[in-house]
Amino acid sequence: MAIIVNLDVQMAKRKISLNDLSERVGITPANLSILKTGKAKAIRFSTLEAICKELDCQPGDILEWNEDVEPDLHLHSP
Amino acid sequence: MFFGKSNVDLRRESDLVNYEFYSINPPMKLNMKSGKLGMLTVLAIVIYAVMILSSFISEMDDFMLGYEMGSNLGRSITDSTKQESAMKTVYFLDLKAGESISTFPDTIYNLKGAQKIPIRFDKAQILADAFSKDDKSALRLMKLLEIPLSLLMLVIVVLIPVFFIKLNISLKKEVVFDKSNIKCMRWIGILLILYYFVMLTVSWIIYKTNLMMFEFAEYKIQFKQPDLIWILLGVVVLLFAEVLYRGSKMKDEQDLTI
Repeated sequence: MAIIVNLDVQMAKRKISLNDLSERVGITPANLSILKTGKAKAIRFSTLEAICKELDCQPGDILEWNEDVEPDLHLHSP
Repeated sequence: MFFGKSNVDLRRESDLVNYEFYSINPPMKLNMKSGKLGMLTVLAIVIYAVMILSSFISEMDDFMLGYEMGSNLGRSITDSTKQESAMKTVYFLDLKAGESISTFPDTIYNLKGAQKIPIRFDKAQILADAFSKDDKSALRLMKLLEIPLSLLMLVIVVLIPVFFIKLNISLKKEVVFDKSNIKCMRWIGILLILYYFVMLTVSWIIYKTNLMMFEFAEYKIQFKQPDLIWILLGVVVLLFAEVLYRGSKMKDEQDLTI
C-alpha cells in the first residue's frame, strides 16, 4: 500500500509495548498488529484519535504517503 | 479484547490476512433468525423433492413400459421361442398434426355423446423393432449415447440438493460471506445450466433417431425443447453467487478496518 504506517517508530519513542498500547486504545493486540504491519485496509478516526492521544503525536507522525510504493487496488477491481 | 474460535477457511487468497488475526477475531457474523432460514431451506428442499417426484410419477407409465420391454428383450436372449415378438421396443414421440392448427387427422369414440369426434395427438408411444446388439449403425450408437447422458442427468439431480444442504449448514452457523458458500452457489448454478444442456442433447438425439426411423402421413415428428426455466434458474443462482462474492470482498475490507 502507498500509505506507510510508522506506528512502531512512535511506539519505540514512547517505549510502549503493543499489548500496553492496545489496552489503552481499546482495540485488540491482533488489530493493532495488523495496523502496525501495514496490512490494514482502513482506520477509523476514533481509533486514530485514541492512538494519537496515547502516543501524544500527530496523525502525520503515524501515517505517511510514499509515491514509490505501489498502491493496493485489487479490492476495487471487478 | 475478545477471543473466539474461527470457522474461517485458512486458505485465503488475500495476502493481507493472517491466521493470528482470524484466530482471535471470528468472521463477521450476522444476527440471522435461524428459524426463518431453516424454514425457507426446508421449503426449498421439499419443493425440489416434490418437483422431481412428480416428474417421476408423471413418467411412471412410460418408465414401466420401457422396463417391461427391456426385460422381455433380455429374456428373449435365453428363450428363442419368444425372440421374434420380444425384439420390439417402445419409442416416445412428440407429434404435430398436419400442416395447419385446425387439422384433426384422427377420430375417437365419445361414449357420452355416442359418436366419433375428431382428435389429434401430440405425444405417442410406438412399439417398433428394437436395435439388434450386432447393429453398428450410427442410429444405434446415437441411441446408446442416451444412456450415459441420462445417468449424468441423474447425478446432477442428486448433486444439486447436496450443495444446497451444504450451503444451508454454513448459513445456519451464520457464516454468510464465505468462499465455500460462494463455491457452493456457483456449483449449483453451473449444474442447473448443465442439466438444461444435457436434456437438450438427449431430446435432440431422440428427435434425430425418431426422424431416421419413422415418417407418418398425418403427423410430423416434433423436437421437444426442454423447459428454459432450468437455464434461467442457473443464471439467477450464478448472479447471487456473484453478489455473495462482492459481499465477501466488502466483508474482508470491513474486517481489516481498525
